[in-house]
Amino acid sequence: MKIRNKLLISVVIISILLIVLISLTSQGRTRPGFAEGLLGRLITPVQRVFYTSGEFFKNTFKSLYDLRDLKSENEKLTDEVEQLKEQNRQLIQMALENNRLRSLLEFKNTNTQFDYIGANVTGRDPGNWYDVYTINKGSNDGVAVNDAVIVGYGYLVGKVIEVGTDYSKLMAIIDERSSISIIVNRTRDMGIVSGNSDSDVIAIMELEADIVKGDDIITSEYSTLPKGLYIGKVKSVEKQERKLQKTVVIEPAVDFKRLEEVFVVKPKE
Amino acid sequence: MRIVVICALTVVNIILESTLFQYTRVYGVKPDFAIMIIVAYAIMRGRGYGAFIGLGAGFLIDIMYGRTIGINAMSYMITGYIIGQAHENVFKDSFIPAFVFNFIAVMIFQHSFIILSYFSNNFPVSGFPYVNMLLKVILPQGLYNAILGSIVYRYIYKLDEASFMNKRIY
Repeated sequence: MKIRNKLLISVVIISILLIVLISLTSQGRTRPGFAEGLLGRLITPVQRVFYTSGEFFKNTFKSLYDLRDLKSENEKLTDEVEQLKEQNRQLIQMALENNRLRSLLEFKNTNTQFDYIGANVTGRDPGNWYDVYTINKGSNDGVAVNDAVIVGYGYLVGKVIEVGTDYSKLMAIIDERSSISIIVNRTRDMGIVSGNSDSDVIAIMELEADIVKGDDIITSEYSTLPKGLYIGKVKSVEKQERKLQKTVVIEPAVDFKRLEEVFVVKPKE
Repeated sequence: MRIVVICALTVVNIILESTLFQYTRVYGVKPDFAIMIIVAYAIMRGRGYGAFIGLGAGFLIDIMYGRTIGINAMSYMITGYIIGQAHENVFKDSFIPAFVFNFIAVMIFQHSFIILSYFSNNFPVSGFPYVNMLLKVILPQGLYNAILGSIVYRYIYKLDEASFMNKRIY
């Protein structure tokens, strides 16, 4: 009997203890008991060591892992920067080109009496004396001899002197051999303008002509070129009494060192 | 092979001269690279080379940019021929002949050019301001050409010494 009930007794005792424990803790706890607290106090630092070292290893391995990627990422970013720089350069160029073309377009829209052929300058006379340029449009595109060539806002560059099938030669107004009939915009006095070896153009006017520094010079109707194309501003006027003429130095509006896009202009039929 | 290389050199030079080398202008004066090639070959190989390279280069420039055909061709040819007279009497591996003869070549070329353009009604300056032209363009160009030409000469000399130049390709 004694031996037989041993297990039963211990089960009962444990059960009672558990019931007591349950009844003690069934209200929910806000503070751990003494033993619990002791246990917690002992375990928590250990846990923390393991936890933080875990974190440490995790971070270390992560950064090592990242390090492996860092190089490729760096390369990727460098590539991207280069690409963006290149794009930026292209955009700046396009913006500049856009400005130049817009000025052409404005002139084109306000002067609808002309036909326009867009062209690019492809080369310049290698010598030091003449100012002849080649452009990439020719008779196939409708360019003909004696057509005017302009850049933005209708500034006169020169005229076409020779036409191939898909290229043409243009003689700039600063070439000595070119001569163009001009008119002073303010007073309607007429004259003839031709280039000289400097990058200015020289106009020969009558002695009585009313012309002062700063006057605007445009092409006249007596020219093979369309009238009203802008040539430039008067830089200086010199009276030559003996020759009965005035020599007028004109500063062209076109920057001949930086010719890129030009328009060939011809009157509409 | 030498002929082919020289032809290619001349053509490429003229394309570059009308486009890229425009940026070599100093105060509006551009050195004449065609003269550098002509002088180099005139010194190394004699008047025949000088004259014919000059003729070819001049014709190309005339066709591409001139209004009257032949002014450049004749001027360059005369230049090459005259410089070629010195062929037998100069050291070919020194840069000094190249320096001197580039200067002389520019003088010969420009004077021939001025005379021919004057008589063909293509004169590039109004009136005949010879001293002005000489001081503003011709002398500076001569000097510029002499300096650059003596540098270019070394490379052309090396190119001409290369063994593949003597190969026959036909």
